[in-house]
Amino acid sequence: MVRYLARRVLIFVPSLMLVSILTFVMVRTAGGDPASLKLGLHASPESLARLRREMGLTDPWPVQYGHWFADAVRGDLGRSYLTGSRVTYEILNRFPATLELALASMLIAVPLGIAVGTVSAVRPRTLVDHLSMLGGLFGISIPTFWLGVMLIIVFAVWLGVVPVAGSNDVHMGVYPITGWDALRHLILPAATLAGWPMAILARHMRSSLLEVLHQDYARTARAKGLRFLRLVWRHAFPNALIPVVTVIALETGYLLGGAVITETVFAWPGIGNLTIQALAARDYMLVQGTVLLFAVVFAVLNIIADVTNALLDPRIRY
Amino acid sequence: MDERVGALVMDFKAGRYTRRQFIRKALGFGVGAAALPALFEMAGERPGASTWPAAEAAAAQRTLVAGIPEGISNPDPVILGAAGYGDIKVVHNNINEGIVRFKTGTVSLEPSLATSWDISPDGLSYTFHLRPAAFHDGTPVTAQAVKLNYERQIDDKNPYHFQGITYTEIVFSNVSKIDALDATTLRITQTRPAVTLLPNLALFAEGIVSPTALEKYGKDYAMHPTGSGPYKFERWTKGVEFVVTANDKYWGGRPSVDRVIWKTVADNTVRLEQLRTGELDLTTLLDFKDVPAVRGDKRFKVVSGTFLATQYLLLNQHKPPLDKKEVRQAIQFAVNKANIQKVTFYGSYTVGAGPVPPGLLGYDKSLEDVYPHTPAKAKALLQQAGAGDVAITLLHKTEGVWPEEAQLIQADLQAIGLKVSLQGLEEAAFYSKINASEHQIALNDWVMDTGDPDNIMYSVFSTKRARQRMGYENPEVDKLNTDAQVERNPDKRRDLYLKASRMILADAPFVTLGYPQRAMGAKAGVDGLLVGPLGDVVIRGVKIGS
Repeated sequence: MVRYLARRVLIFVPSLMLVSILTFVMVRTAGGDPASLKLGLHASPESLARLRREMGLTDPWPVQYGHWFADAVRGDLGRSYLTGSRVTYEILNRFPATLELALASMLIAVPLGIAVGTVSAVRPRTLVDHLSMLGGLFGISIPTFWLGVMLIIVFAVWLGVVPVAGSNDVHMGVYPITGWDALRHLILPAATLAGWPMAILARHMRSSLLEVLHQDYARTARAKGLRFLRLVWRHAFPNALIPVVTVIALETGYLLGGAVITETVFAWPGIGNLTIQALAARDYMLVQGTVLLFAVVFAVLNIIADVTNALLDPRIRY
Repeated sequence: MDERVGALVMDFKAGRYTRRQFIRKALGFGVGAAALPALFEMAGERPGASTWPAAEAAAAQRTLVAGIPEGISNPDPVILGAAGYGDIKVVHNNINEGIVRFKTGTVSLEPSLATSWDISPDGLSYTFHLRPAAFHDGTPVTAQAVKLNYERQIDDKNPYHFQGITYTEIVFSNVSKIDALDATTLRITQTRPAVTLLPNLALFAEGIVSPTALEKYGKDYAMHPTGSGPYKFERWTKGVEFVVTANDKYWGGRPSVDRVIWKTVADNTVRLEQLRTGELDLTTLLDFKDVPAVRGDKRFKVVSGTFLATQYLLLNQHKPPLDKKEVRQAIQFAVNKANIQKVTFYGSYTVGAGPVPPGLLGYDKSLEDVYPHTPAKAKALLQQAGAGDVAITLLHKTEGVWPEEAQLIQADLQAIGLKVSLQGLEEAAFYSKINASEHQIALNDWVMDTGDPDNIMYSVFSTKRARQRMGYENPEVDKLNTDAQVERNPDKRRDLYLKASRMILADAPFVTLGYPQRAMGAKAGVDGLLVGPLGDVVIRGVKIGS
């Protein structure tokens, strides 16, 4: 197990480098340059050239990457073009809010998704099953920005039970992010963000449980007279859960992507909001930093998924 | 004590209200925030058991909660505008002031940190007399401080010349020397007697910051903005809120609003709903479609004012068939500006005349008649040029009203027989394409940086810049514009701009579509607020009624 973990961590390092190179190239080939954006049409070609030089954009790419990489290994991700402050500061400042939102969404999505998937699998091809899967289809296909605005209109404007946007009472400051007021602000964005992973989890849970229920040992258990629900609960459910754990870990990673839109709609002070701003401004340094963070989170979640799998499933040996 | 408050305390003690509801109700009954801790004690709580009363005390101040669509990126004035309007709204004339400023909501200049100025007879040197004032950190505002603020923009080697300084060229291209004659006298010497110096010094980039703060924080100055304006920086959570509080020592007297909380909320609809639910007191940008509904609701009001911007089409003469003057003129006749005014802007739009927007010297309504909407004439011109079959791409930005406006123009141009396709790009790609002269037609606007017509006439049409963006070079226009920069007689100056405008219209590289207005939505009790001419939001004269 320890050797396996060590191997995973070793693969981790080159993957991150690859991610950083890809990001570096992609953000520069996306069209538009940060200097043009900063000056708009309000400056002459000379000013534009001067700013490009100041920003270090005139160097060849390998040189630019070399500078960035040399600083990055020392923990310095450069300064944001947009704000002039350190990228590490910007990221550490925003990441907790995104983490809070993602965890809250998973707290909603995991129990509900598993419950719905289980019920569907236990009663396949019934009305309950069809309705659940239809709901799942909605969850997957409804765009977050639309769902977010609809939830705002119904719960914040019509019913007035939760605030429209923001992360805390306006007079309280942003931190601490605890307390009733912070929770009220968290409900809508978390619910919006939970839609997609909930639907995915429900589908995975359903198919996984159905598969297990069709296995030989399940039939044997039934044949020896075990009650169906007991079979489901004691034998099928734990086994069906194993692949779902991997899905949970991966979906938590994907949530970071979903958070980009949800955070913008709800003015949530997280890293998604920051990434959007950085991308729009072609803030190369900031984009490279945030994508690197996403990559680290993904990789860590993957390792966690593998380890949990090994712990849950005695058939897996390393 | 008020009976209702007594009853409220009993109810709270009996557990009928949460702490939060209790505080809200108590404040609603007119209890001062300072009295809250005592009420808690009466209700049987340990003194100091909670931080709520302190927070609520802050809430009870005259606080203005303002929602802005943009992020706040960098409140260093020399960088302002480079990252959008969020920074300008927060900083300009609120945290920082220049030595001159605009009277709120207009483009006429008034003294700010300088009480008066003398102009030498040859128009070359300007001597400013500064008033006694102090920065928020206590450092006095001196001529040396002002000099440093200007020189850090001009001199690349200045230790405070940070990356991204944008307006050096516009403001200081004629400036040869800046001298601090003594602590309160500053002299600026020019190479030519440009009259644009004063309005340029009212630009948001020319706000004066504390030299002590620059020295102390260096590149991290942006995290500790320190000006001399009516509001001082309190705290900033990036992407969320930016809080300023009234400056007790402001030279113009303490402002009425105690605290302003600027909140970034990108979505226009969400911001409007927050205004409706009371989460915001002010939204600095309303969608035009929402203006009538807000105006019709007694709880709110629509705030507008002079806003200096020109929407236009750039017709790039480097790209056929736009090299043909007839084609460009045909496009001028084809565009239905009144339709844009009605459909996209719900009337909050002035139909285009010349490049200079209304409210400024050189705007002339009669220029509307140079290209009236006459599709028949446009068709005839097009036939004359024999260029109907060439495909043209119209480039536009993807956010806001641009896509809709582009579609209207596309329909107008197709109606006269041009084959027009649209290409929507986000801002970064859009500008770099125009700066590289890769566009045929581009739809954009020019939001004025200063309250002077030079800012559009020279910055857009001087050969150096017009060559790339429109393939336009007209030495006569260049001469008129540079002459106007040094013309001290306003009437003669207006004539120069009118002549240049007529010439540009005749050459037709630029379609003036119109001048958009800007609308903010506020609670009915918010008084004294105006839309600033440069998109700024000045809080110092604002009062919050009940």
